[in-house]
Amino acid sequence: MRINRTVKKIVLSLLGVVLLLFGILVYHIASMKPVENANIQISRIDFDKPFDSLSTIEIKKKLHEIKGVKSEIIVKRNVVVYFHDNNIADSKKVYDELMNKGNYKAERFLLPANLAQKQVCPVMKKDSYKYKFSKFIQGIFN
Amino acid sequence: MKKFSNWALLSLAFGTFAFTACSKDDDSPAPTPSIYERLGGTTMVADPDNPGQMIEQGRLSYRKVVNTTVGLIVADVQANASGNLGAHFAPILGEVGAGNTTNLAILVDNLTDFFSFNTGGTNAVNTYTGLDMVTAHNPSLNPRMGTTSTNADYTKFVGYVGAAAQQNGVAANTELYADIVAVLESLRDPIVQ
Repeated sequence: MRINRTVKKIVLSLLGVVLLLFGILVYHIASMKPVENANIQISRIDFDKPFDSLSTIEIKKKLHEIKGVKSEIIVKRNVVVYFHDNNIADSKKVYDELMNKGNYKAERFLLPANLAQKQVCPVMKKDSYKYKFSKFIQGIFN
Repeated sequence: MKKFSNWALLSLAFGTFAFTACSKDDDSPAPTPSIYERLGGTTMVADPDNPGQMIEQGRLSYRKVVNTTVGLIVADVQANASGNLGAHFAPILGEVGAGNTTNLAILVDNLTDFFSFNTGGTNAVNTYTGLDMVTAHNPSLNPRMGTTSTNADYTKFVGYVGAAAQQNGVAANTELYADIVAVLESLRDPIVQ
């Protein structure tokens, strides 16, 4: 019976530690400052000709009319960069709506392959357990 | 009459003390408000990006400059042009292109927190919880950093922030602009590695 009592103590201790760690995790999540504009996305449209001051105002106005587009819109030469809420409108939807608002020749900018292929996490090998575990945990919270 | 004279004497004495005290203060110049205060401080205004929510004007000003800076950098990204900082932000831009916007939101939030908190916006809403500047800019310690920064890269980045500040109403010939550039220059050493 002595063994049973020892096992009971060990199990209760382990349970206590797990509960404590769980409590710390819950406290950590609860006390975290939420990320402002968590669904923000940045997108870019390249036009066939540069904007002047009047056409800059016009394109900004038309973009602001599209639901989900945020306040900051950057116009530089023939390029328009804008922020939008990815939950409301993705970049294709914004592009399609904008093209319907005028007779534009433009295309959505996609990141060049040499930049898009940059490793997001170069310190971890993709076939490692550490990488797989991190992906699993990220999958739960993202 | 005697009662009136006593009151008059008391008033005179108090007035003399008050004016003497004031004249002493006038000698020392008023302290310059913090950059955060000059950008609007803690005055609550409507958040243009989140209808129904309020935000400190100082924080909103910084967020606008941060967003415009990121936007200007993205506007200059080209396939084979070096020196446009695209490579530094490639991991985040790659994620955004793949539909994962989490880290862009965190980057913008962290930068807004960092600049707000360190220039006078010390309310809890601006608490910076990101990495220290040395770790944040070391690609081997922070996978979100695409590559190390040279002096020339950082000078270019300061130029982007300057252009973004001007687009958001901070003229280049003002003391406020010079103070913002001074803050950025104070970060050159830990960032250039």
